[in-house]
Amino acid sequence: MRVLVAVALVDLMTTGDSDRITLRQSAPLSEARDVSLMYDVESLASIARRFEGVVFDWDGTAVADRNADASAVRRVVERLCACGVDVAIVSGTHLGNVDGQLAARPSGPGRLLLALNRGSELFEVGVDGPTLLARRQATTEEDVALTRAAERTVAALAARRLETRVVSERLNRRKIDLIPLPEWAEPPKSQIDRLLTAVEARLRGAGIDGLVEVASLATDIAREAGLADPRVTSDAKHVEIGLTDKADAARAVFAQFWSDGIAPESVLIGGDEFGTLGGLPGSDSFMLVAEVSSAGVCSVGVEPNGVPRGVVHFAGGPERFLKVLNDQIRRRADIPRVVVQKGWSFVVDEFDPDIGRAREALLTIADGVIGTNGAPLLTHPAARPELMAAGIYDGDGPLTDLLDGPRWATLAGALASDDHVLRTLDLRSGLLAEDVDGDTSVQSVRFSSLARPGIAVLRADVDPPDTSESLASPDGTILTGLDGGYEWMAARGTGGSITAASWQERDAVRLDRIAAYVVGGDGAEPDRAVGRLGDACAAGFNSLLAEHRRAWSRRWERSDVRIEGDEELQLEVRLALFHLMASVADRGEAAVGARGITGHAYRGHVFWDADLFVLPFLAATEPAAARAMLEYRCRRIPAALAAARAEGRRGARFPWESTHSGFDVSPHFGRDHSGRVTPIRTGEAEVHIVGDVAWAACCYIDWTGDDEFALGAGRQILIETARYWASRIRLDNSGRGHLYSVIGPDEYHESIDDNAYTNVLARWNLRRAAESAGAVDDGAVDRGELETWLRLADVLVDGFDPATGIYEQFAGFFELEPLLIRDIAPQRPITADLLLGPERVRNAQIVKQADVLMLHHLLPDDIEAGSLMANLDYYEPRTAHGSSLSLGIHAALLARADRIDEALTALRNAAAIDVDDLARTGAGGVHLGAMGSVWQAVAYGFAGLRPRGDALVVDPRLPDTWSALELRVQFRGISLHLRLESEAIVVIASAPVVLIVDDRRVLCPRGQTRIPRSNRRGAP
Amino acid sequence: MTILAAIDDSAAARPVLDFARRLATLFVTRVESVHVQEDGSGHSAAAIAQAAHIPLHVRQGDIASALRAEIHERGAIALVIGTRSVPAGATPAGHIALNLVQSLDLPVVVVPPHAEDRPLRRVLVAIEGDGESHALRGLFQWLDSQPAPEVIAFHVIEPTELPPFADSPVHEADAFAREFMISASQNVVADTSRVQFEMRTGNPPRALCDAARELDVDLVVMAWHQNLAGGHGRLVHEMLTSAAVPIALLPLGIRLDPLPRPEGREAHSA
Repeated sequence: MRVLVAVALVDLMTTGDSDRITLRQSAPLSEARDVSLMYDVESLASIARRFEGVVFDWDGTAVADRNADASAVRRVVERLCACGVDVAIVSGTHLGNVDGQLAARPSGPGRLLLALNRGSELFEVGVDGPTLLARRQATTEEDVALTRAAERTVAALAARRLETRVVSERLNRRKIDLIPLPEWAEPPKSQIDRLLTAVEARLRGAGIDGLVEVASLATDIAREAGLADPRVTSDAKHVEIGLTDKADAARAVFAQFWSDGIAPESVLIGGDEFGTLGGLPGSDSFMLVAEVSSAGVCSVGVEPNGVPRGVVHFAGGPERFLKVLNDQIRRRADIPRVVVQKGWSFVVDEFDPDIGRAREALLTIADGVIGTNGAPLLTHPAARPELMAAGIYDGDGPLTDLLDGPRWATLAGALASDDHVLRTLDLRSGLLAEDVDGDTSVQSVRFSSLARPGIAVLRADVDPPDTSESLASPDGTILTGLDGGYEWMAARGTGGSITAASWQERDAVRLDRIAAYVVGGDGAEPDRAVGRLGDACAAGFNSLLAEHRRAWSRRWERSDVRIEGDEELQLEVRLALFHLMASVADRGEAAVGARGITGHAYRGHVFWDADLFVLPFLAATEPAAARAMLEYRCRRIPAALAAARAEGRRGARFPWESTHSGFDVSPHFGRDHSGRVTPIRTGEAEVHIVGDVAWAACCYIDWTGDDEFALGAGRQILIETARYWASRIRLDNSGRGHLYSVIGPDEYHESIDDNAYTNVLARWNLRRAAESAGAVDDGAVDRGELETWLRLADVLVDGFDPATGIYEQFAGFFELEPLLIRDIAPQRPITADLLLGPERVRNAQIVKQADVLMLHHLLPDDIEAGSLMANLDYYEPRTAHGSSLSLGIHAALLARADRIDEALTALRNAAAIDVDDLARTGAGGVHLGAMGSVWQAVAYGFAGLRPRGDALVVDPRLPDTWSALELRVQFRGISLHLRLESEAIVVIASAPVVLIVDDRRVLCPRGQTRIPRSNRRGAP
Repeated sequence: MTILAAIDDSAAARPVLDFARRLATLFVTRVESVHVQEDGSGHSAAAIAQAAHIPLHVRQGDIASALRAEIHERGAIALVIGTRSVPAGATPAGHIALNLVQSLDLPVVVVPPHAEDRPLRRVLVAIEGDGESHALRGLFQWLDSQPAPEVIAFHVIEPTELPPFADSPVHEADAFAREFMISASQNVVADTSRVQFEMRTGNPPRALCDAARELDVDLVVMAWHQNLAGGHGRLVHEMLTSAAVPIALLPLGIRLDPLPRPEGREAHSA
């Protein structure tokens, strides 16, 4: 909507005491005297708000000239940075001029950037002064061409009897003075209209039709001189020929802002020359690059020819601009705007009591330590606000559950049935905005700090004002108290405690609240919580926000997946990555339950979901978090050793369901949806978890090359798991090895013998352990034991039939009732055991989830080469996908098999599991394992990524509907940004890296490399 | 406040009166009976009512019309009626019962002829889970104020509604039940802590009948649209045919406020 000034003149008022920009309706157009003060309402509103980043021109905008006193600008810039605002100054001049004049030395958390030399240099200024971040360095040929172009332009103008001269040779550009007259030696910006008149008169005197013709002439000459992409600009007095311009400066600045989590919508651009000048675009208009079209823009210049649409024109020069900056300082008290961005914003535009709790889980904000679901701030009988901490449990045995902690995101008011609730989760910044339109109105932003895990922050305007306590008590054993003036509250469980201390401040409708959590101790820890709270309060809302936003952005820079051509899938994939990152701490140990810390389903128990489905994503993007997950297993090796001993076996027997103790907490019986009380044997028989843990350790090693872990804790995991398999394998009379009475991933079939998945995994485990143990002669494993492992691995049956190329899922599977899923249900996924009953599925060739095929996904180099197609053809139609973990794996394999349409369908279904609440248990939390499988489908399946020694295989198979797929991964300490297109692979590497593309080893240097693709191979 | 028991001249009258008396005891209200004469009938009805010490009113004419008039005259809060006269096996409900359950705007309890006379200890309440059972909320609230009977909220997942995933069937069922009860507590159940939740899969009437037997319940409560033609109507029809225990049918939208409450109990709105 654009309300033109014909209806009302909106005056921008800058009041003396507050420097706050306000909107006020003023005189009608007919009474307006100063046309430059006419704005449309939308434009003015576009800048009369809080911004998180400010970028502005220096000369003429921030200072009147280069001799001006910039101390006031320095103070406001340093204050903005201290408030968490990123500030960037764009100038055509060099560092000495700008930094010498500004002399700001901000200490953060907001950053000060100087984009100088007309886009050729980027500096960051800290307390110790400027540091160069990037420089466009002209080649010798380019430098020669620049000089040649300038000299030829001067000559061409001289031929038309216009005296000009090259006045300087700046970095990457040459400056030609069009009016080298003493009276116009250093014209102030405020005189620009007079300057322009004088220059144009001079040009006309030489028969030249203004600046446009000069620029056109210079451009042509520059091209003739050998510059492919000359940038020709003018400030009226000069025409400049360069390699870069302010557009490059703006792009560099916005990229830095983006990496701090600041979206273009949250950036204010200031300048004084946006309008045309002598027919040429104003120099500051170059900052308005397409990718920041949603930024707020204002001009304080004279702008003799007006400003482009969308630019708010204040006039008033640097003095006015200083007020604009001061206005932004004032606005630090505002609630930051959470902007809806395509592909980044998960929006829930209603509160539906029937499905609300599943939405609450999806809206969970977590920091790896605590998770707070996205229940509305106001109370409602249908809402279930919850706070949990990773790995903190209460109860014993199978009933052990995540402990409920004190809640910080709750207000006193009640939500009425007809209230409108809008919640927006910004995945990129980890901010949850919630607005309520009702009897109690709420505007709010809250976050769980990724930069300071355990710190939770809420800023809200609540009308009528809120009266709630800062912490709400959960059920259970609660301790409360006051410490140092702060309220604290603690919940204690059998497996740790959650202690929170809180602070809040009210001013009319405004509520600011900060809570600090410490978790893990056996009892309440108010001292630690209060200490952390004090630190957080000292930093304040804006600093906490800035560091949190930056932490999330940096995470995304290491992990993002970009799918060009499928917006819906794009958002779902990012939602999955968001929860994967939010659910896992990157230090200490990380117990990752099946639903993370987004809900109570599965009681927070740790299954193979963590090791095989969640960990690979983190190993490839956030190694520290993957290491923390492995640390959880490492610290429970003693329990695993004891469990093996209890079985009469050796080595480490990791539990199928694990909590804090490391002992198995699987239930022994239970009731399913049909109400049947059935014995549950997963705890005793689903022993593949032992190999799953070993595989996870190697997945981490393969991605990271972490030798310390490989030679230490990782090696111990491999050795002890191998010992378990060695003690469990039984030899028959013919000397063949067997694993009896197990359950594979396909849990429809229990107490089976020689499950192919379990056996092949055990075989791989034995061999990998032998390799690891043999690499170091430290006596940990004697030669005889090592040889036993290898011999057992060689004789262990795997069910492969060379005649058909198919692995038999377990001994006797082929004799079961032949049945395809299409025979029993019109569509998948389907819970076949509930549909047909457990007895029927037990006796049929119906598979719950990828089992044999899981081998093709996890261990493609340890199964028969070329066996994927036959096994996919056989098992895929028999797989019910009755586990949420199945679809993603099938998507990956279908992609590898070049069955792209089927792969895409499976991927979309996997990505929709939680968004569409397919299982109708979304209220209990998101399916974190399924989310991990979504990443694996994209990375291992469609992108074809696979570590192989010191190289990374990249073998994309993309749907035609995707124009490109981009992934960011960390491989052996190197950051890789991969862009996969049908014709080429483009990689940006932080260090030299070897990729294997089309079976060729390609050494990619630091920086960008484009690798053309040869004809695609057939499927494996 | 009266609970009215409609009895015919058959042996099926006894279980109707027995259950009406049990219900009246629970609801602390009066019970009376009515018989509509057909061709001079009523001797057996009178004898049975007299033996049960329950007042009997005798009316003439069209049975359904006469019963409606009696209900109106007595201000009855519920009608108890026999499923049919024929005592043996699972046979279709009588047309009188079917007529009344579809047309009366008050709870109707339909008692099979072979129902045992036993205390009302355990009530199974069928819950749809989609908000259709709102009428049950008042009942739950009222039952919530009573020390007895035990209440079992019961849900049947039909084959077409099976969840597509059950990563771990027990955990998944646990999560499903937890969410179902939270959802039901918004629409139906006032206090989930006092209510036991049971669910089954399969054919709803069969699952309901099996569960009623397995869980040893004394009454099955169902809310419905009073239309035997729909899917839910067919379920009611089948239950009336095959259930071994009384079925209480609550028309959707009725208010249960008039139900009397024990002294000292605070009234709840429906």
